[in-house]
Amino acid sequence: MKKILLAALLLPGLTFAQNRFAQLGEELPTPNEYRNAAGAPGHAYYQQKADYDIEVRLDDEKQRIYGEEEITYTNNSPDQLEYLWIQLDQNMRAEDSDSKLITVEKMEDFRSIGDVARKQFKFDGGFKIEEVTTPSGKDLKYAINKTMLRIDLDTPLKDGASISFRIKWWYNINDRMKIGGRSGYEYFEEEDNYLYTIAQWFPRMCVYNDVEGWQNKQFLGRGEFALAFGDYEVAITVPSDHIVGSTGVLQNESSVLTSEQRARLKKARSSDTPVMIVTQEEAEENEKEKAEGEKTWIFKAENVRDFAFATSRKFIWDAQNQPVAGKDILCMSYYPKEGNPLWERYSTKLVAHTVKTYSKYTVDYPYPVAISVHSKWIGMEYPMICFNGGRPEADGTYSERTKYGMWGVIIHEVGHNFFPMIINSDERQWTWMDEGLNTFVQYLTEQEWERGYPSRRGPAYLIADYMRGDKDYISPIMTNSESIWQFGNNAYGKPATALNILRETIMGRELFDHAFKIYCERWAFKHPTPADFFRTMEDASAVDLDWFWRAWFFTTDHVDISLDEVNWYELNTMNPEVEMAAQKQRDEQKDEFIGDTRNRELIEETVNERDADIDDFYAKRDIYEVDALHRQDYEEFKKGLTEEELNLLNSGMQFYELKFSNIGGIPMPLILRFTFTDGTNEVIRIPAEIWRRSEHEVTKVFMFEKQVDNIRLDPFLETADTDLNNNSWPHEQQPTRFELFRQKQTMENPMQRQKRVDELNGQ
Amino acid sequence: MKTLLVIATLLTMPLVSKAHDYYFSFVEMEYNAISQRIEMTLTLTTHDFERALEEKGNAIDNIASLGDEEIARIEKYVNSHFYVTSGEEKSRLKFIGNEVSLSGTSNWYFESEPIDFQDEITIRYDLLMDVFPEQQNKVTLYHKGETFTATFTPIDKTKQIYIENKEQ
Repeated sequence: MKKILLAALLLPGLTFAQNRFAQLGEELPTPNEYRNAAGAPGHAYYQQKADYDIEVRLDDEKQRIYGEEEITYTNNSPDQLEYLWIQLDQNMRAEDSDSKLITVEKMEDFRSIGDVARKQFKFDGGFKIEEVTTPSGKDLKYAINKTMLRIDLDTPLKDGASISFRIKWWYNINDRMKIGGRSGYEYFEEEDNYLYTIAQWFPRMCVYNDVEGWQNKQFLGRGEFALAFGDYEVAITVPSDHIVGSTGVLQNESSVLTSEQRARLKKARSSDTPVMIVTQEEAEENEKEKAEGEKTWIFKAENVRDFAFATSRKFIWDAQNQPVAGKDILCMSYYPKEGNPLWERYSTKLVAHTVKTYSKYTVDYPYPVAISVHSKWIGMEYPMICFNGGRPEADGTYSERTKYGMWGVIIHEVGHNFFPMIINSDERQWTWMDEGLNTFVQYLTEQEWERGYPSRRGPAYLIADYMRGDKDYISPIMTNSESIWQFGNNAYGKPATALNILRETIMGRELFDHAFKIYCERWAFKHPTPADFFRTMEDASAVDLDWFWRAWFFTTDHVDISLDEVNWYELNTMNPEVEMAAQKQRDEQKDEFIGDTRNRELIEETVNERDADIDDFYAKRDIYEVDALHRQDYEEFKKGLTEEELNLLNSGMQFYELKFSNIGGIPMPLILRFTFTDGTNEVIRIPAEIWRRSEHEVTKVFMFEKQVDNIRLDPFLETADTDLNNNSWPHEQQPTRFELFRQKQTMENPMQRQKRVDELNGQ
Repeated sequence: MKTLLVIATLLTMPLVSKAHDYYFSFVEMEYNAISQRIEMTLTLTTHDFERALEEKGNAIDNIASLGDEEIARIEKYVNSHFYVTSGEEKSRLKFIGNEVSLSGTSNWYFESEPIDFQDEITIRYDLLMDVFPEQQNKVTLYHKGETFTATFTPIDKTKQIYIENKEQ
């Protein structure tokens, strides 16, 4: 089938028939007693609680997890529950998992024997559920549907009531480097050691709430987790020479740490710089041989939505204190020697900076610890702990790019403590609510880490490539996590950019920061939805943002506003002395026909020059001469004016009528920089509401007392305008990247220039 | 050699990694009617490109400082995953240079051998799709005062662009 693409210019505007400034009505759920119209939790808001008591053992020989848990589930809803749903995320790796079955394939994916081997790769993943019982050991009736387990209750769980039950299971841990995954193990062949990052490792309660009922949408690998808050007590049994980093606070230091390690940890608790708990030398010594026996590390965590841990005999461990609102946060890092020298130098400082900076923009970090663990390639977050990439070369060197990559991933993943670990949105439904908001605050945090930090996402102009043109394979932000095209740009980049535009351009920093913080405070330790966010941002700022949410979150339109036309007018003073002289000047400046110029030079004498009788009144009169009648008319005209009107008339006012068209579809403010002929300039900002009655074209008249030399639309690159070629008067063609590169190629580089400077200075 | 190939390809299992959700590249291209060459800039996630080259047996030591042999391998890789067909002709790209940014992306500049650029062209753009199943690529073509865009996915790797001649 032949696919014909027409010019992008023809496409925009067709995707959205409704007025772009219509209020969000049908698009948002009706406010109710659980979630009110202001975007806050309603007077009847509730959420469930799930407490866990878990014993888990790591089999380092077989790379397996064996676990047994007792869950106590409290039904705070007004409903009776006939059954309970529990998440079995590891089943995504089961051999019959839907995630494998729904992968789209073509024969060209099987071109080589390697391709075939890849398709046939086997891994016995998934939870092996051994028991589901009451605390006393009586079997409970249950059913498994792929990644979900349903327990059928003999009698419904009444509102306000609690139930406890036990689950026993095991599973094979995935080799993260071969199979991939948010968690798993990395094998270090050289010394036959493993580094485990363990998450989604226990059956976890689904969320039941006023929005979804049970959020039991299958886990297909992308849309992450919706989890209830609860308290955890977890006993982790690992080889005795392992160091464990975990969600929560270690309860049995004296059983698992040496006295020296405990002393160092105590010192770290009051240090504002990292203190080594396990040094690199000690870790290298530890990883040489495998000790006999096991140790059990016990952790407790309160009011968290999940629990993860990392364990290895390779771990180096450092820690420092970071006070937040008068409370001490122990910031820590766990990493193998392969992470150095980057990790010992930066990781814990980045954790501390992130916790402090996010607390400023969102809510005070509420947990006692914050941890960054080094795991090659990935970045993944859990309450109080996250796993981060950023590995130097084997020889200990690293590129600047690796350094910034490591910095960025640590800030991002530690930042996830706030979104969604504390402000607990439903990731399975809406990726943008945690990734987008987190990427936005990540940008703010990066900029406070280093001036001019090369953030990948946040600044408006960085999203232009993604948003422009062909819309075949992009989705509105308001799309379910599993159905999104271009996950990174859609759920991370675009929402982060949108918030940045609100902050810098639409609302301003003061209004935005206040409203954003209100949203975070309202929904900390609760389950917000998109409507709660949209409504709070408006409610707390008195800025009607419905048009903005509609354009940026509900459509795939882009920003392309064109400055199409500029018409220049001058006020007629009616003063004949002024106007006649001005007319004479204009006429003299007119381009002259070449024949007239040549005739003036080459015709020596015309008839009327030779014969004085030829020129009559018309030929002899000076059309620019001001006569008495002109003056009299002007004096009469002035008598009808006030002094203010007369001053205005004589002010030399210049009028510029500008015509704009909205090519991309998203209405945005008109930010205009007028540069005058005297070299000065003035920036004028017209709110986006100028488009409210005329969506496609608007005109606006600007008055100045001096002449404009040029006009630039969006001069500070703050609206994500995808085509800068139609933003200037007079027209200015922006060079393509290729042309810019060519231009740079012909210039000497800074070092060559410095060489010439040195030669000039006689060095 | 075959065994090596299998092992190398096994490593291309899709990796789910949270912080790494990019899988996007852009080509900005223009036809220079004077030189009769396509001039294009490929922008992509540097890390993705390094991984793809590595897993296809073309590992590059330092992407910001390329040797002749490495440039030849990159040209070969890019030419096999991005080409324009115009009439009977198929583009052959030559590497001009690259710029690696600290934010994680890099620009790669290419120029084609002379080619007769007709009003109906076909673009094949499946760069990185053999390594990352979620890869999506987008072309922006500036030609005759118009802008054309086309998006490519693993199930839609080839597209035709018809350039309307508005001068008639």
